[in-house]
Amino acid sequence: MDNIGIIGEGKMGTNLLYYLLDMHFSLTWICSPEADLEKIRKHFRKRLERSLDAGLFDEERFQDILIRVRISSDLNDISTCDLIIETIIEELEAKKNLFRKLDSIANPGCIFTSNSSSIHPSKLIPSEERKKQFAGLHFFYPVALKDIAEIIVTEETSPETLEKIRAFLHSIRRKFLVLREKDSFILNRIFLDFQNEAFLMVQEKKATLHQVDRIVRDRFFPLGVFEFFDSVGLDVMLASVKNYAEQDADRERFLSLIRKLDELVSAGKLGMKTREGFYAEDQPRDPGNPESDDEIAGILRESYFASFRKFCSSSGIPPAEIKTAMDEYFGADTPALS
Amino acid sequence: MALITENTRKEVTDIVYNFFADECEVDIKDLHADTNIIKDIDGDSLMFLELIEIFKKKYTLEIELKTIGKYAVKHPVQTIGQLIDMQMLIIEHENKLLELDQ
Repeated sequence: MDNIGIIGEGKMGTNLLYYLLDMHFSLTWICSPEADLEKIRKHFRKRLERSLDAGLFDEERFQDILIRVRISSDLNDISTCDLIIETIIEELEAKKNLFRKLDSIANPGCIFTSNSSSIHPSKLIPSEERKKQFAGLHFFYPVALKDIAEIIVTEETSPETLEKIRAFLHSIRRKFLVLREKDSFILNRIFLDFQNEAFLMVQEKKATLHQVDRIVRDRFFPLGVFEFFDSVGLDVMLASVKNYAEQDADRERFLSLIRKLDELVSAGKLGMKTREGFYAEDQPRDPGNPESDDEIAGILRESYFASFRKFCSSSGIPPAEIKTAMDEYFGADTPALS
Repeated sequence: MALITENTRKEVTDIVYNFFADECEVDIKDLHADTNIIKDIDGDSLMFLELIEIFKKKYTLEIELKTIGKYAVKHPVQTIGQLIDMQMLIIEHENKLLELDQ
């Protein structure tokens, strides 16, 4: 597969484009009609020129990249692509509409993938003809640092399509997990169970926000639970948690978290991008009661491993493989099953 | 390890300030050591990665991106001053960067 289409000019679409620039592909980057295309093209060229000036590549390579990359807002430009990676807003209807349009434009052999972090690919299949060539392809941001991706196959995804996606990921030097839809987004969902447990402890006043995040940073992951929420953006988290809850047999347990996220988002508190989310800049630190640290850590550990075991068992993926994927996801060593 | 001279920090500082002024389209005079890269000038981690590539090339550094990622996760960079400090550590310690935490 040599011709790759990337749809979307958000963080992930942009990141994927720049990651793939270093390789041999012809890239078609489709930005939304609302995007300022001239500004995006100007910025792209400025960045390339800066890299040229810094000696990151030579003039020949610079010209080669300019030839290989097409930036457009016209969906018709994807007609020659072999693989399309959709990275637009995390909304079901928006994605469905897009794939319907793409289906009538793309060549019959083109593989469609969605980088969605929470919507099942089977919900996005635009036609009978495309169902065998449709899968989820979930990268983690930033792609250069997160050497892991999730391939999510539907019941209709053909073995040939899966093989081509595997080959593509090998060629761009990314490791991957192959997941069925029931186990989709496994890394986020294992972490979500942990996040939910942490949230409930704060909600029930068993611990404070700062205390939980300190414990999480010291004993589990490089970033606290609420720091993670604020950093990703609460609007993004709300959409994702709602989608994950729908996929969970015990979805009621996420209702408090969804309500809280909804409340904060409705108040315009989206996390770091609005300077206020779970945390506010002028919020006094409440260290909680350090004597309860061990007890809280114990509950969180139990919750994490229960979720970890559940998904290992359900997906059939060995714990060591999921642990490695979690390490990549966090860019650090994560707790191992003992 | 790369040779650090008196001039190295000034070089790094100049490159970082010019980079953010150019990329974020802000006046270089408005940038300070405590300028928050995300909140104040709408920067992101891709810019950080690009800067690392520039410094790797300039100082012929032997360091894996992943090593820097692991270090950055434990020592998050928020301001331009912190970023310059981290770049200096990267130049000085290269692939031994993580040993600083041991």
